[in-house]
Amino acid sequence: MLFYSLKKLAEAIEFDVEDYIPLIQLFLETTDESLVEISAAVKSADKDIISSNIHNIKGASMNLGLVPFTNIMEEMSKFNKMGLFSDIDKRVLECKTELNKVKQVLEKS
Amino acid sequence: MQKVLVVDNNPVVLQYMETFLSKNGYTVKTAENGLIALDIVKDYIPDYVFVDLIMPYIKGELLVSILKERKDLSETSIIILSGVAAEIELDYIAMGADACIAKGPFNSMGKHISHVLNELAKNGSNQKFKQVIGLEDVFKRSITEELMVAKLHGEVILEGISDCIIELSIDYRIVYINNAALNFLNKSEKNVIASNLLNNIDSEWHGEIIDFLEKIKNGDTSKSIELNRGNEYFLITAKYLNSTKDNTIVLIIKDISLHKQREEELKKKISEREMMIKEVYHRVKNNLAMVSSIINLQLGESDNVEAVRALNDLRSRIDSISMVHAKLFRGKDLNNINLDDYIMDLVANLIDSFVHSELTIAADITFPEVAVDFDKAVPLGIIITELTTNALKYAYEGQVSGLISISYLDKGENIEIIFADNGKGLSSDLSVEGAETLGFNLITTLVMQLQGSVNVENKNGAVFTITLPRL
Repeated sequence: MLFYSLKKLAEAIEFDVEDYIPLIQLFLETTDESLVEISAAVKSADKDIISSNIHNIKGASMNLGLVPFTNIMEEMSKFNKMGLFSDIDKRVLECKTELNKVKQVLEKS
Repeated sequence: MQKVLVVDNNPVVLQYMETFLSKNGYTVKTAENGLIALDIVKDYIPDYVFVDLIMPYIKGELLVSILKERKDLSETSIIILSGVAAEIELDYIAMGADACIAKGPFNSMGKHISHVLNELAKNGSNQKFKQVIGLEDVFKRSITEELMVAKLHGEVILEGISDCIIELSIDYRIVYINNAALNFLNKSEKNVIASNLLNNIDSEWHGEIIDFLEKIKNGDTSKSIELNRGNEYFLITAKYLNSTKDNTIVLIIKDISLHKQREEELKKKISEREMMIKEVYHRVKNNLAMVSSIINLQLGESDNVEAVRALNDLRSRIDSISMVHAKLFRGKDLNNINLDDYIMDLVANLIDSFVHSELTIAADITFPEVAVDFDKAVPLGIIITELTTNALKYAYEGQVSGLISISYLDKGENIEIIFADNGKGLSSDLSVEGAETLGFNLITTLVMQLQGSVNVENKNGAVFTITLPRL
């Protein structure tokens, strides 16, 4: 199980934790929205919308050093290419679990 | 304090850049798309502008070229900050940018930003970074490449088509315009991007366009409007693109001038044809009237009772045909005439010309409005003429008044025309098919021609029932 340390993540980009928290909050909001769009696009098998949202989450997670999200998006991207939409749905759930971990860390801070 | 503008649709990047640059002593403004950026630079002259390439509304490349054209921004350095830089070949110097940084993890991206800003501060706008900075920190991602290829395909198609495509923000500012639309507006892309559509079109169109766009925004996408500019005609359709983030309206303007011109030519040709056909009907009617007059003159010369009767019958038949031509000539419809109107006039004419002073004949004609073509009107007219003439000549001998009734019954697939007089009736041994007179022969022949049948009976006078397929 991976643990998120706000302190370490903030230090990695030479930010104070208090400056880092708004970034993480924005990441949580935008990723939540993108996951909703991915789930809707899975139902209509719209690969373009899925791809575009994967791109957004992947870019932001890479910026912030949130490696687990980047890895999940890599996998989702492959499934999307192959049209394996049920596997994308499973990864959406994984991603939500990771988001909850980050939310819990934020709440404790 | 040096000023920076950051244009990126990713809120995390904007938040990072604002915090990072502020901490490093810069005044920072952020814009989540090119439209907002262009509004900001109206009264904020930044020293540095960071531009993402993939953004909604105005694409980054176009935004860079618009900013570079601004004289008041000539000292401003433009830095492209984009993930795309790591995935496709970018000639950012040709675009007008001074440097290009590949987006990556913020820890290394921050260092690259500081480095570029320091170098630019030292060397001013003469400094051009020859290579994309930060490529070593990112791994090549195929997702963006695929998105870019798909986008490029779409753009190639849009730039090549002859219809005008204009994409508008919900406050009607132009965020995309294809080549055909630029030709239509006779303006350059840099001049129209971010400007209000209404500033670029004829003022006389404003009312209709605003009304149309408001309807589109309210979900009424079924409508299109037709507008003209002199002799040029345009069909305008629109689609409201409703996404969770950025809503736009796509206008499609199609030049239908040629279509309109052909439509007008066709209308003119149809009108000329109608005039010609009317002229033909008119001439035939006149010629038939002349034949009828000649017969009339001949009648005045003849003492022979049989000859007079035959000539009168002949004249009635010719008049009935002439009347069809007259109706077609005067009517609006060149192919059909109203049967009720025709029968009414025909019977009235016959009664007028046959009835002598001691005999008064009334006619009761009950017909719905039925339009029939020329090929059916002529035989029907002759049939009614024969039946009426026969009744007028023979049914009322010794009587001072009589009634002729003609009615029309709808029988589903067939119709019935019932002709009845209240005269003395036909002799009991008469059958229409077996009759040897010219009149009855004509009736049976013409009824057959109309693929119908005729039945005759005595019922307070003679009753002829003509059954015909639906007219």
